[in-house]
Amino acid sequence: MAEYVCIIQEGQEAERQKDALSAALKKLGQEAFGDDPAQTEIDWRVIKPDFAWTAGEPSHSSVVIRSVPVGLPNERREPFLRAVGELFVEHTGCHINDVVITAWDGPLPV
Amino acid sequence: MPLYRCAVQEGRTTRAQREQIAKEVVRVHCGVTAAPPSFVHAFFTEYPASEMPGGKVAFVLGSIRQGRTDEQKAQIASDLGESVATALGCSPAEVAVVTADVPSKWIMEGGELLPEPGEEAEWLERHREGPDAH
Repeated sequence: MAEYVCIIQEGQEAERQKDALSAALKKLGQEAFGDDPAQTEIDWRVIKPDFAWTAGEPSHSSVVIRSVPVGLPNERREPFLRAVGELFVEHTGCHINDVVITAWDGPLPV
Repeated sequence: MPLYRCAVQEGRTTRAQREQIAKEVVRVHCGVTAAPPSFVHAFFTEYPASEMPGGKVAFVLGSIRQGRTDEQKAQIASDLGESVATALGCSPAEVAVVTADVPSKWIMEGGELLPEPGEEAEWLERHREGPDAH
């Protein structure tokens, strides 16, 4: 079972694009790790306005956390992280600085 | 990164209190680690009081880059606990702050892997148009 947690901001474009982002993340996981899209779980956590802050100011950031095989080499990890960032930019029009992606070794702690 | 996830009791915080805590997260984290403030995140989630860990008013989990010393992490927990308690008007015993280490190479922000602690200057130079620009 592949797992993603996506933390996004209510009312921002990522929320409106959840379906497209889900499809894109599943496709990416299939290409990168051989995931079965039907067995991929995406937990969307939508943060209410005034509940997210970056550098002490209202946040525009999306956070994506994905479980990956323990010890995944950097040659595979980095391109995957980059691809997730690019697909968020493509689907939401956000700045790349507003996407934080973590490829977490093993089961997610959240 | 860092990402501080703050679980708070439902209806217990105002916008002003959350903003104050978010600014304290920046002040404490950057003061202890000398990290730049640009990418310090504080995200809040509300839970019913009955579901709060240990019955706390606030529970803060800071995911921070691996490489900080035990002393730095203890200082963050202590100082931020005090700050959150002050902001919420509760006792420090009603607040818990813990940190979790995440290797830099596991995280990408601004389209690049994060630098190791202490190696941020060049990385930041490439990301001047960061969240501060908003």
